[in-house]
Amino acid sequence: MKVGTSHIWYVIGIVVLALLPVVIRSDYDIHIFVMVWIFSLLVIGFNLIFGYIGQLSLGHTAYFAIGCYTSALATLKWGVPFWVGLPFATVVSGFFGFVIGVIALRWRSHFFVIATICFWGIIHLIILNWVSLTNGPVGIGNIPIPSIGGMLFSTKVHFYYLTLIFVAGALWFTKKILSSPIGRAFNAVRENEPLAESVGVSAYRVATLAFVIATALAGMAGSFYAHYVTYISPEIDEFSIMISILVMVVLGGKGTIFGPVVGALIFTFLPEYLRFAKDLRLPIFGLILIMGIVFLPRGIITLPKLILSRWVDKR
Amino acid sequence: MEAGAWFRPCLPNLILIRAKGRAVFIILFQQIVNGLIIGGIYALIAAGLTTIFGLMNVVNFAHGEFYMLGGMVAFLITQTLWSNYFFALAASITIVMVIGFLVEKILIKRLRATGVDLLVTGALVTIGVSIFFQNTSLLIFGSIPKLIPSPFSTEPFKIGPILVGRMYLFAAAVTVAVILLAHYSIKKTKLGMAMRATFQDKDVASLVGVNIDRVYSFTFTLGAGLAATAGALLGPIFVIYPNAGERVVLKAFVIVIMGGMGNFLGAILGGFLLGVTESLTSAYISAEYKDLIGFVIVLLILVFRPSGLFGKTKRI
Repeated sequence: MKVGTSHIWYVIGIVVLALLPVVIRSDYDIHIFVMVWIFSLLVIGFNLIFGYIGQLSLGHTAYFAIGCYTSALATLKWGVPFWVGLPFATVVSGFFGFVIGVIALRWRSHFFVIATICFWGIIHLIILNWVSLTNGPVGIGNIPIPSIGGMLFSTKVHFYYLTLIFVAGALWFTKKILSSPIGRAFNAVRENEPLAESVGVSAYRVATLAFVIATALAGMAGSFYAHYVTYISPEIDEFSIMISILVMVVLGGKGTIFGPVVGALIFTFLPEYLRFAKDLRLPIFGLILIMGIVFLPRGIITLPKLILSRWVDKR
Repeated sequence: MEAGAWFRPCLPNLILIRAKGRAVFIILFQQIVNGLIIGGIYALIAAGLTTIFGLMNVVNFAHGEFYMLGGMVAFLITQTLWSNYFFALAASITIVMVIGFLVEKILIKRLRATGVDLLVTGALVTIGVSIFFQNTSLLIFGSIPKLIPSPFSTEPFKIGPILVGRMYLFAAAVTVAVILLAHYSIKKTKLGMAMRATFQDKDVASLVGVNIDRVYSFTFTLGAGLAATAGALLGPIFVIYPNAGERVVLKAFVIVIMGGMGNFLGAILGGFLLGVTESLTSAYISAEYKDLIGFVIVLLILVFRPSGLFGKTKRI
């Protein structure tokens, strides 16, 4: 019965999102929605390692950038179609994630944080300085847009549906993983690592697996970004993007399946609609972030429950 | 000397030294001196960061902003209030210390009271603080880099054949003095003793009457002050701009790992070591990749010596 009602909600959600481009006529809003879905892929992965395993990977844009550049260079230099570039970028990012995970996850918390930052620093410098491959600060343009059998994904609405399908797929995949024994191992490792180890769960392997999935999803997001915007430069690897990801996951609700997506929705639209504040935009953004962490440490997704319980208490 | 000549294998190198011995050594020493001076500045920043981390368990992402504010406020003072650099230096350090004090009192203390994991929430809140300060100063000062007018003549000071800028020399002297002062206050004063006690065991320290809140407040303010000193000292040498903190905080993290987390002396030594390594790398290997060396060192340290280059982690 319970499962039935939640399925109905999913169907409603999917129908609403699928009909959205019909209702929204503004190209600009559709564009922001596409960015929301691309960021969603990124944060769904990031949430696995940060929200479920509890390890803060502060170099996550490195894998996003690796995905961007791998996919762009594969399609431009080897002439392969987007549909080869996408899985290739996913695998390459996942591979780098595996290598770094194996090194960095031998320690927890702050060591891991700083190891991931260092890897980010290395990738960032390589992208900037290996001019013969990455074109340096100038970036790479004219990245081909995807097509299926002659039909080009030329409009923003096309990309809306393409990315939405993949986000839905990623959500379904995380839900499946989390309800499997592996997912229970994730929670066990986060809540009490020694106890998890004592019943035969290898925290190191579980964390590495989560990190590989997270980095692979970041690579996938990168590939979509490269072929959607058709231009990439070292700016995609700036630390400010990492901060956006973090804000989306934490204020959306880390360790929940839909929280990060809600976060991506709010914090992609919010900076755009704060534009009326002009130069005050980013200082205000910083203040909202501070307030959010101090007053809503568990994320916006818990807000309805919080209000409800307050209301019940009052009576 | 042609570029890259230094890089020849050992034996020809010796011959080279014999032939052009003086020139080669002078250049080498010049690079080492430059590296030591910059390293001292790194040490100032990293020492505060490592102490805040070791004591409060907060990875302070706003630390680079204290450095930036140190330079920016000093610049503002020389432009508006009084053009005397030494007054601006002292005033800006004081102002940034007050800002650091307020950040700790208003935000971090409140987080500590909620009892959540400070490692993550502390990092997030300081990231928020960093965004706020960075963009507010962008709003006030604009993005054009600022150079504080130097109080010294540009003619360099000669130590034998090695040339050192007068401002560099002043910066080095102040750095050494401030580091010694901070070290002294941690080792000898009563508050410093309370700090070390808190570092060893927070609960026991609080049981024997140490005011933990005051210790935390002092630690954070001290860290902010050290970073601001670095910023105000570098202002007349390099330019300062609103995003300057980002780069610096990453370097400081590198040094904190090199020295071992929470290790005050380790951070000082690590700062000098990184300064010299970077200076030598940019002179003899590649200027573009000089920033890479620190990151690679950290990954290697994490693999082979996670407690830092200088041994024990638990020390202040």
